[in-house]
Amino acid sequence: MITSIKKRYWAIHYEWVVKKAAAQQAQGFGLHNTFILPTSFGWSTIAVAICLFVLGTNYQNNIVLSLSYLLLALNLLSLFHNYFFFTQHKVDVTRPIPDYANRKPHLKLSISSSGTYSGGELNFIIEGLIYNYPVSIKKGHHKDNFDIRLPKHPRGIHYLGKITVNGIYGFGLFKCWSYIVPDDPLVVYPAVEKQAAILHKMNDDVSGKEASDSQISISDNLQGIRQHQKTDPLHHVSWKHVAKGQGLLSKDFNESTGISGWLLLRDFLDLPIEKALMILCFQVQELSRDKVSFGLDLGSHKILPNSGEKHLKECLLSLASYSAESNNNAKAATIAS
Amino acid sequence: MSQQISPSKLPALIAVATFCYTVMPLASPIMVWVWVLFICAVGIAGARAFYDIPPLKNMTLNLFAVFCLGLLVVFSDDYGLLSTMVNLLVVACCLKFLMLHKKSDLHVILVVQIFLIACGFIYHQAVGFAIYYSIAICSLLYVAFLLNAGNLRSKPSFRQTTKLLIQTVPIAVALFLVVPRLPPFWQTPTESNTKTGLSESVTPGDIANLAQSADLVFRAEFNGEIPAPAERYWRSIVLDYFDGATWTIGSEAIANDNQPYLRYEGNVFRYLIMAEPTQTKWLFSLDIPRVTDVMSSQNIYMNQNYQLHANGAATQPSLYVLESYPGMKLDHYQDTLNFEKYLQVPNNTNPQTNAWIDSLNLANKNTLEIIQLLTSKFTQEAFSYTLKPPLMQNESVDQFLFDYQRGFCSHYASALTYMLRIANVPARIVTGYQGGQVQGDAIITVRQYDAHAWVEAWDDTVGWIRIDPTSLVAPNRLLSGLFSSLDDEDSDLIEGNELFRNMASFWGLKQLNDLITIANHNWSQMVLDFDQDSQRSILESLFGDANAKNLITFLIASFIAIGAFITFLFVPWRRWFSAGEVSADVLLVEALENKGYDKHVSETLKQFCQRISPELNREQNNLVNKFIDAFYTYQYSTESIKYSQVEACLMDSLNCLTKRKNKASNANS
Amino acid sequence: MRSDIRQCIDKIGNIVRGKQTQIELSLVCILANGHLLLEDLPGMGKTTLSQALATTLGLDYARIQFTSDLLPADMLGVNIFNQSNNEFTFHGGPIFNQIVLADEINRASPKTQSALLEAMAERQVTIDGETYKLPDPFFVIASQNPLHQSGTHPLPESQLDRFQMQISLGYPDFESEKQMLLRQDSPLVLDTMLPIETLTAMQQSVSKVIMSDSVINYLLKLVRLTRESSDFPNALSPRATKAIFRCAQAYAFINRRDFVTPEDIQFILPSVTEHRLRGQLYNQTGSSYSEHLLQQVDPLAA
Repeated sequence: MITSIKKRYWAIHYEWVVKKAAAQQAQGFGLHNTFILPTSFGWSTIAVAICLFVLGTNYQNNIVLSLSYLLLALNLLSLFHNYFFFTQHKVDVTRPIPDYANRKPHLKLSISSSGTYSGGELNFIIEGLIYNYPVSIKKGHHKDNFDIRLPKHPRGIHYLGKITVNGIYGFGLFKCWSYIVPDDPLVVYPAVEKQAAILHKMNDDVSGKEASDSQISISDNLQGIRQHQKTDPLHHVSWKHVAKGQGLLSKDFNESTGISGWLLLRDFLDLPIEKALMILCFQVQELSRDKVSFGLDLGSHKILPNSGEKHLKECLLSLASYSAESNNNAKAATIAS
Repeated sequence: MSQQISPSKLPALIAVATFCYTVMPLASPIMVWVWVLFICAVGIAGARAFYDIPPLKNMTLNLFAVFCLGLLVVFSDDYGLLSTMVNLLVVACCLKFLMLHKKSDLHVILVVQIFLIACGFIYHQAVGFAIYYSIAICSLLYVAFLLNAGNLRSKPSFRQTTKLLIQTVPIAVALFLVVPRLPPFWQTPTESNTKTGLSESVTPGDIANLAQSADLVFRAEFNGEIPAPAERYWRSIVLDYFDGATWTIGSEAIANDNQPYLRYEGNVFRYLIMAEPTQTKWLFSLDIPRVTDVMSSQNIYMNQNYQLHANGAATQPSLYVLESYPGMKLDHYQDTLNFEKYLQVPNNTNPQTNAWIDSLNLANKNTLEIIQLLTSKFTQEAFSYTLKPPLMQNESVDQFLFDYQRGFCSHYASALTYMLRIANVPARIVTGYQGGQVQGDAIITVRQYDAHAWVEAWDDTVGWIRIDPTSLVAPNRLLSGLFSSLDDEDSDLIEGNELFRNMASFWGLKQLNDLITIANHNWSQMVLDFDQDSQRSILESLFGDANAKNLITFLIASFIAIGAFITFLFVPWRRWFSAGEVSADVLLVEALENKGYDKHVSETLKQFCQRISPELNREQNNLVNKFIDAFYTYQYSTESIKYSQVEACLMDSLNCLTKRKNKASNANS
Repeated sequence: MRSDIRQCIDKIGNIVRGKQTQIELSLVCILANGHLLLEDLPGMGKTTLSQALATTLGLDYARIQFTSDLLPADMLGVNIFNQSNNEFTFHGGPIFNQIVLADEINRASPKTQSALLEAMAERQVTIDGETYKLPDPFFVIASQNPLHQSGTHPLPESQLDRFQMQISLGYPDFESEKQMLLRQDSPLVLDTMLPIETLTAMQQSVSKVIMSDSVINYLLKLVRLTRESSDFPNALSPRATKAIFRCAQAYAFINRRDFVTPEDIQFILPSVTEHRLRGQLYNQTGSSYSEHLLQQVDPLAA
């Protein structure tokens, strides 16, 4: 007896805390942010109900009248069912994954449900396009992911604006909707255009002088052999050693030893700016993959030479947010941090 | 099952099937070309469930719609407003089926079909039809549900639909009982249909049409004795003016309001009549009626022809209680009778008849002898009874009496009345119904095919004498109804529905038949005739008095009841009052989730704890693992281990987990 | 894990390298007394695996290479007229072995396929009205090529359902393939590890493994989801439910438990259900129905 009460206490206690935590994490729907109105089908059934009421009264036909009442009662109940269906869901927009301009970016939504109702559908309206999610969370299940493929976006940083979520359940007589504003923007990098990289050595007194271009190409100088790590590219594996049964070893190139150069936007001044950014986008990734330390000079904004994943992200972000006249870079910097 | 129907096409398929199902009982008002369109549309829509057929172009369809609309307008005059509306709805539905490719198209179809069903209810209201159409409504709602069912399959969707419907019905019933009945807003267009009942004029031949309909006219529920078949003459309309072809009401008899009170005496039948709308003001009664109570909203009077009538045309069912005194003589109001009226004949018609009556030398005979003489013509010569009399367009009496000698009741009545008038006996035609089917032991059901016409002749001593010439030719007509007096060919004319019913009764299914009738009777009493008065009587039975205050209380109480019902539906009872067996693993997971570790749906307890174990300290890990072991043994194995042991482990780990949390929160603050 | 089984797996693992899980699953399948479907590209070691299984278990082994012209009689056996004593004597086909490898089953005609599947279900063969019992134990390990080439007859859903499990071996990882090459010359000798008596005893103990109510609920929830959700092209049959049940028991057994946990179900579910859920829809690579199924059901809420 006492144990079951204790158990109950724990259950209630935790349920409360869990709910509070969930409310902070994901967007829950409730009276304060949910709107509900009949759908066009709902409006038309209401109109039919009124027509039937008139018809039934005029013919003094009780059955037609009761049909009209039935429709009204259906609408009334649908209102409630729809509301409870809608508010059982929580939608969480995960941070959009940055993508390239020539691809359709993904937006991941995680939908969780307290699972009172099964079936029904949710629609997400993002930038005027409707994405239909037939609810597949069954009773007693909690979560599902919904992957939305947005249309191609141009390079840049896009704030998606508010996402309208609407839910339809039952006979489709009512529609509940609410808005979600994703906190994080969608970052779209330039598309990729292949072109070999040219690294410039840059002196400190770069100001007026043409860079004393000692062009560096990535050398193939083998520096040594070391134990293979999972992150090493496969084409660095020393197959010779593998064949000898000496285990998986990686060739170590003397890449970052001293090679450190700048990628300049200036190099592509004759090309349209977008094209130039596309080329830079490719080069940045190539260099980063080869673990070359490089800097990026976009004229108004410079990123000091470095290497690594974080550096790459920073470079890509500045490419994404580059705009010829103004300096959005402050903004980009804040996003990156 | 060569091919499976894809789930996306299922709603459309059900909608098509329901459409056919709905339209079937409405067959009669639908025009032929609409039928053609219907078959095409249903065929195409049905085929679409199995093959990919592109929808029609909008442009083509719009033009076609305009064309159809034109046709409807052209035909609307012949068909009347209601039939035209039915046709319009069917056409609209068909056209929508042809261009069906969106969800909203199906929504339109559903709305139109609901309207169509409502129209069906105007035509048919019997309990069978109510059930029939309820099925249609259910399947329409199922379609509506399927359209938004998401990932739910068709079977669980069906269960959900049923659940929602069951929740809806009590509210609809409450609304039905509570919402005040209003009088008609305006005069509604009636069906322009020949079947609606007796008309105020009889051209011999008319009633032959009537006899083909099995529509209900009225039901009489007797309290006590039932009149014998031969006594069941239901008087409705009295016709006294003859223009050579048609009998009409010459001048109306005086209403009986301020006439001296008749002395009712003799044998009495007490009964209640529930009459369908007649579209005329005339009602039905056995002779001589006395109205004791009227339940419907109109007043009912008796005039000097012993007819009952209401103030105006009965567009709604009427319900009234009568006493009839069949033994009484119909000799009242002698002083106000205008015998000229009952001797009127058109000039220069039917010379053969005139000559024949002259040749009989009737001058010195009394009325009864004259009647005897004249009716003997029917019995002695080869007259026969048929539902398909030949056309007798001019000199109809002559043609009937001397050429064809075949006819139906109005032929006989018309001929006899004419002969009587020539012979200087005041006479008139009475139309009404004769007979009726006895159901149970107290209910007589009278249908349109029971329509009849007979003759009344005046004798100074006896008053009006009822003469039924038809009965002389076809005595069965009187004793056992229309069917027995018909030959096989004729009975084909009766609508199949009723024929089936009768066959059923021949095959010993009479009880079932009676059951249906009684169900229909109760249905019409409880549902169809539910009106303001019924509402008032509910109010009275509840509060004792039906005043405005009680009415408002009643209304408010009902709405509160509806509200309470909805609350009842939506309060999460199970979560509030469930016995609360929260299993231990759920508690641990909740505790961990509370700490910010999210369990994936698919993870088991062990997997979850293993995943997050790097983030817990050693003590916590130990306790959690200990709990998991205990729990697994308890929950899954046969080994008997006390739950308290599991619980102790749970409490330990929970305490350990929350302790740290509290410390952390203290540090934060 | 039971030491005998462990040894068994290790021994077979010396021959089919880097496929511990698959070997474990195939043993589970045999312990659960069900037939196995191997689906893989040619040359992945299907035959090696089944041969190794046969040797380890000390069972007779035969391999039938299915081709489009293989007739049921080639497999089941024929009656041959014996002139010396003037009567028909029955010559059993390769199916009269305890382990039968039906290689490339989807290349055979549906007629032959169904003859095999009938033998699998009935564990007996009827030829010319005479019924012959198949040896006991009797396992069929069928292999099929996932690519639908022309001239192949993919197994219909109803027949897929008869295979308790379907596993695919896949390419070996780097190390295993290397080992495979390095140890190529050393002779691969296997001894009988589990004699028939042990196997039968084990099968009996497997059926005594307990599945508690909450695990059964979990199992049924999984199964019912496939019937209710439209995500799955083919719902699971009760036969499949039974197969999951038995395999989970067997898996619990080889892990030295006398009760089934939800983890057992999760472990064996993909191999038991994937082929049933997918049916003939091969083209949808990447998305696994059984994974999707597991993703949706919470084992705790059961």
